[in-house]
Amino acid sequence: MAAIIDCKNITKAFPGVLALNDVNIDFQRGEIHAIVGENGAGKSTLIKTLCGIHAPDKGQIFFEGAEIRNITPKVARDFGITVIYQELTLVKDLSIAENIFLGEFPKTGILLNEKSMLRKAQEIMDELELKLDPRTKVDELTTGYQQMIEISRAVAKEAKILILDEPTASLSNNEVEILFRFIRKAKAKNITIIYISHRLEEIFEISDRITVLRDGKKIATLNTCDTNRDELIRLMVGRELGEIYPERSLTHQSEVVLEALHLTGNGDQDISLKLHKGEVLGLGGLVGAGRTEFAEMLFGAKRIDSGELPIKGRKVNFHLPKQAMRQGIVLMPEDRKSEGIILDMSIRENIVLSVLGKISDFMIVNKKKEMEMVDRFIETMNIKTPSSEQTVKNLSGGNQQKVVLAKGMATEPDIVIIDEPTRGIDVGAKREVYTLINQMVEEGKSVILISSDMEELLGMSDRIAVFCEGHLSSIIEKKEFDAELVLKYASAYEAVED
Amino acid sequence: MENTFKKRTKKGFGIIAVLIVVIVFFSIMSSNFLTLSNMRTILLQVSSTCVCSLGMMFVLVTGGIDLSVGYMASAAGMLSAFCMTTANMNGAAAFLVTLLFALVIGAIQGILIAKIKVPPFIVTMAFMNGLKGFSYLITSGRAIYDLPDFVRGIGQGTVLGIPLPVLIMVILIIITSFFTRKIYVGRYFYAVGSNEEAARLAGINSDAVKIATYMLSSFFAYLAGIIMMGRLATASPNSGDGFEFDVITACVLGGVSMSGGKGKVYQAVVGAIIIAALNNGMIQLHIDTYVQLVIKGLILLLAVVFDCLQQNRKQKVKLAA
Repeated sequence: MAAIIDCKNITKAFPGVLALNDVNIDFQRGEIHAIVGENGAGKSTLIKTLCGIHAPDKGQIFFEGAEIRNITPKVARDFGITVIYQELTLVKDLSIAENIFLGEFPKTGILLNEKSMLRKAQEIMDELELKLDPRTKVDELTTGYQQMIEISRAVAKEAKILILDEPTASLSNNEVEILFRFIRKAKAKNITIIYISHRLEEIFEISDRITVLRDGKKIATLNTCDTNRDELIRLMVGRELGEIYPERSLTHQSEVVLEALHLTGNGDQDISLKLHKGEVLGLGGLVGAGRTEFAEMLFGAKRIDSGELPIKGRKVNFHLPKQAMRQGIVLMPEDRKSEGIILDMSIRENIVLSVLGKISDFMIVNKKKEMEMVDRFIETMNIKTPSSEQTVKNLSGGNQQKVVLAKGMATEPDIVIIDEPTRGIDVGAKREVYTLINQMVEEGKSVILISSDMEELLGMSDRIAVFCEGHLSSIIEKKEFDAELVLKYASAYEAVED
Repeated sequence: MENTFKKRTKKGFGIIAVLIVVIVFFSIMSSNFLTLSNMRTILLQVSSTCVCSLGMMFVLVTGGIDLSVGYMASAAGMLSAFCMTTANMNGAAAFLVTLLFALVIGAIQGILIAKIKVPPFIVTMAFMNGLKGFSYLITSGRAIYDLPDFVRGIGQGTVLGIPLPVLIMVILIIITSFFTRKIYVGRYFYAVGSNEEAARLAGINSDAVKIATYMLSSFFAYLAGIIMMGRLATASPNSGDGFEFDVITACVLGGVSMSGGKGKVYQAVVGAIIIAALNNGMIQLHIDTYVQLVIKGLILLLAVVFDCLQQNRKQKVKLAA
């Protein structure tokens, strides 16, 4: 069987991270090939290399046996590679048919041939057994169906390779079923499908082969029927949890510092849980399960519709993050570049941003206090930089993350909410972040840790609250910690209370 | 440290070099240009533009734009003149009423922009036309001449030989400079302009900052309007016509970025001086008024193109990182 794409010795480095390290991988015609790995394992870099967004530093890529150099997005598209990202690229105000043929409308002369467009769209949809009216506006479809329209568009353009990046992240179980049937139809048309997902059960259901990546290296390519879940997890993680998660003495006390009582709003329904002094409460669940949304409510960044939020026994009602900060809560947001830091400002300006009032005398910023604070954080957080005047955008991801932590810690919080603290940073920086989190709890602070990295969640938390579709589906105690249990609750919920 | 100093002087030098080129050019072309009395005239002319540019700098730094400043200046002059003449109020009361008017208009614009998220361009354009109508309606379009003597004093008086408008300008430059450099709230404008969401999550009330921005802009436009009225000893409804254009050009030419987050007081000031020198020089050379407009249009375009080129270059750096 000839490979449709064959990658040989692909290496790609970014400043501070070896994203792909000598990777060999082949994709066969008409197979569904899953790629798994933790965050930062190199999955998205691999995809971006294939579709011409990143040029590899070393290695060769063969399309249908012929080596292609200097792949640009256009070369990849012309060859028939289509990537379907989590954020869909449909024009919502246009119909299904118009979306399928966007940019290549069937024309007679200079006029749009609507009849021919509708007929052709219908043909493709029939072939894929998609029972929708091609005149329906895309806006009226659910996300799952919209995804299928994207795939139909790829089929219309005679794509040979379809790359699906976490296609089920925002779908309900029912929609996933329909999508899978659809993917199999596409496969029957001899299209190669590269499937990226964190959900292992789906991968076993749909894929023919599985490639495991870890820290930029290819660990193995396995036939799905010859492997099992445990083996896959072992290959993905590859090391004992203790190696990266520093020990921490038990600091967890019984005093409740924050309590959510039937909190509803921002997409979440009836969340009740308690946070104790000196505890790391992990929030687990799939992307879009409502964890970040919950954190935003705690921090006053989004409105609470109903429910109560007593902090140290006192009821509060925040409209602004500023008010939450005054009560000793701080949020270190998920997307550090767009929410966590101000890229165009220096390390100094970022660190003191939340406490400018405190380091000022009669409104005038006290330079001495400012520099003392900045120097202290650069030292304790081990931020690697030539100067505190360095613009933050020039730092590596790990160092940027440390600036986010420093900016939060500068407010001297009692309750720290950290959303995805280690996304896209390398293992060394991860360990440093974990050590910092441990320091926080040892100082008696309480931490809410939101993480999609299962290993991190299990390794760092004292308890895990699992979210599913905007509900709290379970709270798991340390002694019961188990990846499968978390996944089970993450995909189905029944109401629980803490 | 030495490095940042070098960079700073290098960056600042660009725009000051432009100013020198403009001055040298007009000095050669016209013997009248580089005389003490003409320099004094230029400084007088620059005072209103410069004062208003200080407010515009805040607006641009937060990533917005304020087109209403020209007719805000007109309206400020007309309203205070109306209060002093027809309504028979004393000067202080008239200026106070007008000040409140300006602050309220600024607050309304700011609230529409911050809370309802109407694009600044649209809000301020609507107010530009509204204020234009308001200015003309006060006297059905006639200018007001019979103003009390002290009004002339504001525009034409001197303190220790320094014209009062120039003195007001210098004091305001010093205050805003101090505000943006030393007062902590000054940094909030830059934070909101660079990344509003991050600023909000860092505990900055970004809506309040934006509302304050448009109030500041209206306030500075009000001061500019009073200075204009003083210099001519006349309030005229069309005095601010095209003024917003000079003010925005001054800021952008000086190096205040249209995309927000970047801009210094000295840049707005130098930009305003260049514009005033150009206006003055072109009149000295008897260049046709319409040709002047074409030239100024080209200068704004060039300044924005330069700003965009710099932004693009920065984005490339970002991608590479």
